[in-house]
Amino acid sequence: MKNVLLILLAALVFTGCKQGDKEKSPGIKEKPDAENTITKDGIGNLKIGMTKTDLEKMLKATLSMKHAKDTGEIWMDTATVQYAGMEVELYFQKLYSEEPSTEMELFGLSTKSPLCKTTAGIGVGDDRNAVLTAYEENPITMGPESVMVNDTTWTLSKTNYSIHVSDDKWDKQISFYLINKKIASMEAGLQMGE
Amino acid sequence: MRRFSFLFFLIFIFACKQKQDPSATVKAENTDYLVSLDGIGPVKTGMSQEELEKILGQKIPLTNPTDNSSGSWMDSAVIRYKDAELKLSFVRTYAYDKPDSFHMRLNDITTKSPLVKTAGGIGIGSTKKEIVEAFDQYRLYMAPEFIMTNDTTWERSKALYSISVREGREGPQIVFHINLKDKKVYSIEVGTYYDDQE
Repeated sequence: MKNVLLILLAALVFTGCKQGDKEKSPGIKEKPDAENTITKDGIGNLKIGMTKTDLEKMLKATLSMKHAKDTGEIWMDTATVQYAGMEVELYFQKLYSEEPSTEMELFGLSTKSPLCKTTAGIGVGDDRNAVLTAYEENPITMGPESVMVNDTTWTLSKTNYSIHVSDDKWDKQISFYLINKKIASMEAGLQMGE
Repeated sequence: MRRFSFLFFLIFIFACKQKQDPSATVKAENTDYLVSLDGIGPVKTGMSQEELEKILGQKIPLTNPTDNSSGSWMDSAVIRYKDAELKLSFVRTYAYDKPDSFHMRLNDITTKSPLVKTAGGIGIGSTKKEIVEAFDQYRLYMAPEFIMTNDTTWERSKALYSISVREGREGPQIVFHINLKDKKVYSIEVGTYYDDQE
């Protein structure tokens, strides 16, 4: 009886220590599902470069474009979709290589969902240091965001900050948008001139 | 007795003034080695060689002053400024009105001196984290540095890293060069960044 009690006690202590270790290791992140993973190429199967038609076929839904009723000549538009439990904003631009140029192509997408994570497990709620640690080998551009004070004046935000992580292909990037030092949203997109 | 009290008061005031002077000197010394987006101490990017020589009270020994054959439009010099060694890079700036007339303009300054520090105390030996925190309201561009592996190939270094601090996308910048072995700043450079891909 004594031995059983001793073994039980040892097991309890061991489990307690293991739990403590987990809590003390904030750097160790759980790997997200493939569908919830953001890379510079997109989120899950939503990939930059896909056409609106491809996306509708894959999602088995018609995308509701925000400016569908705009009679003017538009070349960019956005749509919001539910994907793998996340709300994802899709950014489209007209594909001018097509003749006639009516097809829209996905050039970026963003989400505020806490389900979405990078391959290293970085997501909404994490701080700047977590991003810098995860991407030590990548080129990073970061700084406070510019906010428009009035029609002619811009100033640097005290609360909003962005971190853009790219690689040496300089084609696409992951952007982290922070509010009050915590990631509030993440975006994958084509890398364009500033 | 009153006269003695007044004299004592005057001596006291004089002593207090004397005590303040050393701190004023320390402050002046700190400004001498202060690194900012404009330069290091009184050595500012954009200055002409003549201006610099006047301010520093010394001749700047350009490395290739008589080079006519290579058509080089850049030159450099290593100078001793107080207790710090500075490497200065110059470019030719041509006059609009006179043919073949130019002066040498200071393009960037590099130092490894531990005396040189930013207003926030960042200098040789500082870490990446300290730089990021000190320049919270600036734009930072950071990446492992490129190294040339052979005549045609460049690749990212595993040992060298740099952080450029700017106010805008282009313009004046401070570049902190970091050795990834000890993860500390080993060299500071002040210059100007132009995006030539535009």
